[in-house]
Amino acid sequence: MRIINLIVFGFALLAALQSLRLFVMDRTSIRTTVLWTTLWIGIAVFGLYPALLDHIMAAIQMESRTFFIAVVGLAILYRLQFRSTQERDLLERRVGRLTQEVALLRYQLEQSGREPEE
Amino acid sequence: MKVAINIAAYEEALNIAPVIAAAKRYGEVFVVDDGSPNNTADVARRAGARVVRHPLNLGQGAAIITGFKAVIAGDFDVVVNMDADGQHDPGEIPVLVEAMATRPGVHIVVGSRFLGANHGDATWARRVFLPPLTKLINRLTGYELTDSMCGFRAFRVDALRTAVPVLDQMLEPQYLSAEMFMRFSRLGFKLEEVPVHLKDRAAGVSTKGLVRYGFGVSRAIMGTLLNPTRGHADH
Repeated sequence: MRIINLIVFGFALLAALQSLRLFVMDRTSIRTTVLWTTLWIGIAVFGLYPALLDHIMAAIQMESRTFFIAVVGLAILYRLQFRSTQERDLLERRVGRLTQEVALLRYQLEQSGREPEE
Repeated sequence: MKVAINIAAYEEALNIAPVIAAAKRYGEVFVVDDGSPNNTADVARRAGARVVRHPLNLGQGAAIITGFKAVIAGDFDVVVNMDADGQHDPGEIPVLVEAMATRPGVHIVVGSRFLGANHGDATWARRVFLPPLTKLINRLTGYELTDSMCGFRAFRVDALRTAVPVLDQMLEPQYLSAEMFMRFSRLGFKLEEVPVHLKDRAAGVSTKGLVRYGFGVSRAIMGTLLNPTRGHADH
């Protein structure tokens, strides 16, 4: 085992603990916590036992380690980006709907003679 | 017929007062201020309009839909949509209303700048892109429009009332026209066109960019084709 393995393992473990800590402090959701803790634990495991990668590649009959890491890394990144975009779209839609409702409520209050408080 | 006039406005403090003053003769004016950073809402209010104010800028289509909902809550028969920038002549509101009154089976009366005399603000982009876009919308809807993007339109309020669930599910409210025609045609709304005359914008510059607008309309059409009955289950 080389020093770099321990560094990667230590860094990833700390990051996983940070995710959990943020959840306990109510600064992230459970969904985000599970996602990132799982990712960091995965990195920690591979950091400590990089030979595990060779076993997986043998099982799926892939020869190039670089290609395998690139494909898996890109897939994870795209998935995360897609989720992020999806949630942003949903939020935009909800904010739009809320904005319209607030505007109509204020209008109704004004029409009924009661000025809304700022 | 009890008429409401629905005007969506964004940063139109320079243009909106004379538009409201002229439109007021034909009905109750509703102005939806779409989160203008200037005093558009105050100017509109002082000019005698009922003002609904978005706290955030959502786009013209969303503002038009908000205006529809404000009108629907009243007891109006017809709502006429027009622009806040002075391009639409309020003196032609009776043309749209008369067309609605004399055709009881019609739900939408659309003003067309290409039926009337063309006007100075038909930029090269509009002359080039509008006809094929209108042809495409006609193909998709079965309507026989000559001008799919003129915002000077009248709607029967009873019909709009039934279409609220569909309006709430618009995919691209910023680019309302294409999607609205496609969804309203599915609801069985009948449409007629009348000639109107458009003028140059009175002051300021348009915030619609050609490329962005083109992409937005394309997305709206594609999205509606992929999900044609969005909101219709509640209709």
